[in-house]
Amino acid sequence: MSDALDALKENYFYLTDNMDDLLDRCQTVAQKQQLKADYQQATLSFYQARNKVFQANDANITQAVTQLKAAQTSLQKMTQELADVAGILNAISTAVRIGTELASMAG
Amino acid sequence: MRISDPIASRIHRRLRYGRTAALLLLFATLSACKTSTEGLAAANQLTRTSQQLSAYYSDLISQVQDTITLKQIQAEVMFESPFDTSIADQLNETRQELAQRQSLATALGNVATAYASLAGANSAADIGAAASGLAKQFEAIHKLPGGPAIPDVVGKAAELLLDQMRERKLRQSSEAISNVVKAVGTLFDAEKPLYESIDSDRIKLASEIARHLVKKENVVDLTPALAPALKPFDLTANMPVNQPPDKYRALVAEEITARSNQQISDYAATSDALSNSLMAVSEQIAKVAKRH
Repeated sequence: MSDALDALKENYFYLTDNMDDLLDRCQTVAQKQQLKADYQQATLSFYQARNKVFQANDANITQAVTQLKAAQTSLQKMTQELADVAGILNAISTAVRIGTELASMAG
Repeated sequence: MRISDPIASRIHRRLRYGRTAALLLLFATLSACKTSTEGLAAANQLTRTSQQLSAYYSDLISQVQDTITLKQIQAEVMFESPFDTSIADQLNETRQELAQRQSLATALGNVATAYASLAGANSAADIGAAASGLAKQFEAIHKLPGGPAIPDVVGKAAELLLDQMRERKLRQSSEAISNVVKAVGTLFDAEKPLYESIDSDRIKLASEIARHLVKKENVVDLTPALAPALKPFDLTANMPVNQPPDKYRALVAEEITARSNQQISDYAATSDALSNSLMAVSEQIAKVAKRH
């Protein structure tokens, strides 16, 4: 977490943790209104800054998902290739069996 | 034993070559099997880790939803003001970001499944069955030069060929998968403080609202807080409704603070464990790639 985001988080968390006590200390309605407005602003500032960090990483997420999908396709292709070889072996096996049967009939 | 009969000598030589070939095949097969076994173990670990990652993001998405609700309660109960919807907008954006990361975890899980299929027993069983079938057909040819040892070697050779193909494919794919898993782990580490801040935010809000409800609104039943002292004796508290003594309210407020701190600390430990799992599985897959 960057220093700026960390500072916004600490400020917001301090106000959240102590909001009830801070409201109690306000002596006028205007002071309470100001405190609530400041808290709303602190909340929004922190949330916006946090979302910006998330958004900055979106390109990496997209790239990783693309790479993972490519890896999945490649793995499935490889598995299919192995299964195909097993199929070829089965086909050869069948051919040998038929050959043996023909040979025995000829004998 | 000295063998002078040329036919017997030829048969003996063939048997000896057959045994040597069988031994070589056995060692090679064992080596290939080890790679597949390690690959399968890595795939299973990747499956577990991707499931944990997906559950982690799913939980975070729920936490953001709870935070929106807590903000509404805070506005109405503590501030006696209408809820500022721009806060909900920001949290909904956060939720969308987390949903993208959950998609990443899902993609990781799909790769784990495909990786397990390549390394796994089902594929090996198909290949083994096909190779055995081929060997049996050769056994049926009684006049095949070399006698009965040859079909067995042919069958094993076919099986080995496929095992080695699979081993090579596992090695080829493992390096790329290891790199992507490492990238996911690096991203998780970079964003871990953000995830923890989402959890802390929810707990701190809930904690502050709960303390307010206990201390100011006086609308909380405090008797459960006394249960640890009374439950062993099958007793229940009989606290005056809506007017519990101040010392009980202070006690419960302290308990709320202590438990919220504990939950924040537990969540950080969970995040660390998941981060370690991602890095460990990346290294486990990298080892499959480097195996010769």
